Amino acid sequence: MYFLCSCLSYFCSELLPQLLAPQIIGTAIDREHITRLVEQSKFSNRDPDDEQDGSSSSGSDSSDNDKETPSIQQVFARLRNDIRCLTDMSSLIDSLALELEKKESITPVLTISDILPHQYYSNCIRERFPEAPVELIDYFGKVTFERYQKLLQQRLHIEQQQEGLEVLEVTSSKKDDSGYGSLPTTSSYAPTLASSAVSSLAEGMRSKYPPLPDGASEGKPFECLACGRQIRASHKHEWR
Amino acid sequence: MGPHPQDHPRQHAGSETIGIAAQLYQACSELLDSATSSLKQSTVLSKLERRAFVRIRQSLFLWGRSHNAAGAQLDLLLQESRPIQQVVVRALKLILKRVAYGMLFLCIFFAVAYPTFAQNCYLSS
Repeated sequence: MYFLCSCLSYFCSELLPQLLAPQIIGTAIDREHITRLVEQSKFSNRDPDDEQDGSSSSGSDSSDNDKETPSIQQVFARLRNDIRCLTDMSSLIDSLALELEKKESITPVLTISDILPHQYYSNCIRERFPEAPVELIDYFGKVTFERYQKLLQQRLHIEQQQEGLEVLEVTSSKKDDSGYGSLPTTSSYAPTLASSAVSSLAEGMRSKYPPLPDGASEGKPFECLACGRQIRASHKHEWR
Repeated sequence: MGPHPQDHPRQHAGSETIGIAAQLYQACSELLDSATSSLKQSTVLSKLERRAFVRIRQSLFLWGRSHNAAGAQLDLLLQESRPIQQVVVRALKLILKRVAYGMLFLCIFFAVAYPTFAQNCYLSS
């Protein structure tokens, strides 16, 4: 408020008489009106401390004649006014700080050259776990991409080498063991499968495993989508 | 109570690294500090005038502290807006001019009226 009044007062008292000739002022603009406004602005800019101290504040305005030797009270009053101008601009400077923070917080747009091969997997992980650390997401994205490439190579290798069908018995494969590790559990499903199924149901999603192709439930072999081998699985939980 | 002179870092050696606003603010602060310390021991100003002078110094100190004007933070912010930078620098320049001329006036006045005080000021600086 004070800063604005000072600027306008300076503009009225200094610039207008210099820019406009007296005859123009006399005809187009009421000269007395301008003079009265300037006096009013001086009154509004007057420092209340001066009135309390009882000192004259007629010289407190910066538009006064500087050629006159100012008293110490006038110097103090002018200094107070200048510092008040700076204080009035504090909000403007704070707004600059906010703008700078906002500018720094904006993340740069990724270009095509910046997108890495594992970016798709990293994005998928980030969507599911948005609060996870960026380094961890990036690492898991890389690992997943490498695993996908490994499976792809394995699939191509099998397709090239195996001309005939080599049916793998997934469900009925039995190995000779001591029996300690193959004791029947309380549930017919593996704990990880059960937990994943429960979590999928809790999230309102469908099963993570793709549906079995036609005829698979009847025992017919089919090609695995991941490794490319010919397998036989009649239930979803066997297809892992 | 009031800002301690040590609160204003005197960075003349590294003044090339800070901007014009910081340099102006430091110059104003140092002038006001030296004037305050000189006037504190004298009786040429009344108690009311001395208090007014200290209040001016405190106001400038608080403004500078709130914006870290002595460091590079203020100039960094002012680079975002050229008009605000011009106004702030102009205001600081005006304050420096007033303080310098005011002190010059006081020194000349006191040198005539109180030669021993002026001599003490010169020796203390």
